[in-house]
Amino acid sequence: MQEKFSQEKAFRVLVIEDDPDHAELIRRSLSEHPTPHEIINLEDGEVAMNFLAAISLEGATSSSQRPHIILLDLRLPKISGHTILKKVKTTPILQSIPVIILTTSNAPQDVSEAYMNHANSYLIKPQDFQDFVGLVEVIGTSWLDWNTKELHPTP
Amino acid sequence: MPFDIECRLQTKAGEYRWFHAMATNVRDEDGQPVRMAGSIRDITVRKETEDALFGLNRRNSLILLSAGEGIYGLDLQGRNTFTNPAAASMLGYEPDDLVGGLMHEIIHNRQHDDTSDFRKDCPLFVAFQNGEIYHNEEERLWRKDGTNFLADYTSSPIRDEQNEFFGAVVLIKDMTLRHTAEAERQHFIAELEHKNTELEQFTYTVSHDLKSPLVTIRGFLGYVRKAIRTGKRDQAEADLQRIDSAATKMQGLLSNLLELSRVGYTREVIDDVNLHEVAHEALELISSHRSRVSNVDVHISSFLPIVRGDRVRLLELFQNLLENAFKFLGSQAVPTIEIDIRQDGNDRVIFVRDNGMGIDPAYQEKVFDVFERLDHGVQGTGVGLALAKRIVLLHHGRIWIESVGQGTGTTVCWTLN
Repeated sequence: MQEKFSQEKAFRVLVIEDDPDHAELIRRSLSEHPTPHEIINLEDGEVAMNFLAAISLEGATSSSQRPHIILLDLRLPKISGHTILKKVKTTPILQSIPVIILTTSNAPQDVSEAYMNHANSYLIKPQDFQDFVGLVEVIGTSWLDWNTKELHPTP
Repeated sequence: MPFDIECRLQTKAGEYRWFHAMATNVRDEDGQPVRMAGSIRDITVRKETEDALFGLNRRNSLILLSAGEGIYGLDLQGRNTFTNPAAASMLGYEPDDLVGGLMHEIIHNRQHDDTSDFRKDCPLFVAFQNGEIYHNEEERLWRKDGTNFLADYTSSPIRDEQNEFFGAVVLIKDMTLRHTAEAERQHFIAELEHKNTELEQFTYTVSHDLKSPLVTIRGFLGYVRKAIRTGKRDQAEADLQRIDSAATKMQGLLSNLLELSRVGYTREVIDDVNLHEVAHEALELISSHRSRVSNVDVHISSFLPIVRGDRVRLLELFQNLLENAFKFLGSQAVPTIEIDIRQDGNDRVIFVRDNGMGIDPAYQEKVFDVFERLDHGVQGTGVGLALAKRIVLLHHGRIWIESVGQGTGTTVCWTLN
């Protein structure tokens, strides 16, 4: 998978997910959505931190690498999703990026910790296909459509 | 003959009373006894009082003798007037040793930092001087042999009919046993809490790692169904393969879990184990299913000792550490693995060192967590080090990683007992 965003007018989705099968499921579900989007999948916590650090160093919210939305798994190799969430929400350049936690964990301590660190939403990877697709479509609809209006403002 | 006796006589009224009778001879000019002269006195009351007192004393003595608590008496100067066996034994003396001694100087004079505990600074002594009751649950007292112990100390003044106090009675109880029991209790509670947290962490990790393949299976099943319905079958074969792999992964996880739980639940067989032999055996077992073994230099030190332990588990330990070392060799010119022993102060440390990828110091504790994987390029469900840790802990040892980081190799070290 690619490592940098390259398309000008696309909706940039950063997926931080270590399981390649899950990443594929996410990619397929998103691809059913009409709005052009570009996905980058990062497979481990350390790589993700470096990617985000590079963006904040660039110093501009208009950076071409800055994602419009982050889908974040909690359990990652090396650095946990909680740490990445905290990093995003405490870094000025990255703060306003919506972060959706997408994880298998329904443990109350994970849910509360995520919200305490200002996650925008906490979704539990369900074992039912329909729900999974539905979830991603909800994300897609609310955020992508909103962004479509921004990218292509109606005259 | 002159006499002086106490005797019991019956009176005219018929009752028996005690008398003190004495008489001497009266002699004439020639020294010849002529007659006896004497007196007789009724001493019944005195006699009965004496008997009563004697009986009382005897009972009190018995009480003091038998009491489990230490009891001793003090006069106004703070000298010991009596000591019961229990007190004497607690303090390491014979009861008679202490009588007449200045108790404060003998058993209370030193603080535990060995500075003098002068009378005027000592609350215990001040209370005594003022004729007050003094109680301290944790008073430090010194024994004859110089050791000390904590005692429950109570001192009560003894007063006469005019309510003037003329001494004190002290009660002491050895608190050491109670303290040890309390310390043990705290230790057990801490251990239990620790184990509980470990279990919670374990359950959390395991449940995630089992749920993930299930999500994969269900997710791709949906796409396969869709492919069958719509006739667009190109991806279906690949999707079925993903489902298959996920199922295999779950199988592997479950069997690893079982293995992990076995360690510590099946009874160990403790014997003298030759680690040199075991290391070689482990290497052979691995070579039989690893193709890469031949290009790797493996050195097993001949100094590996014979230790007390469970041979089967120790074989598993070496297998896991060797497997790990092989996995993390990376790609390099001369891959080497060494198994050796070194002396770290009082500990004998056995280690498995490779010159491979190395492990970043930040993750050196995490790697022992079950299923923790640092590198996706490397195959394996990540239970090897967790298992190794379990085995080392079972032998009451410690296990840790020494590595500076990327590319500089890893040394897994462990001690036994």
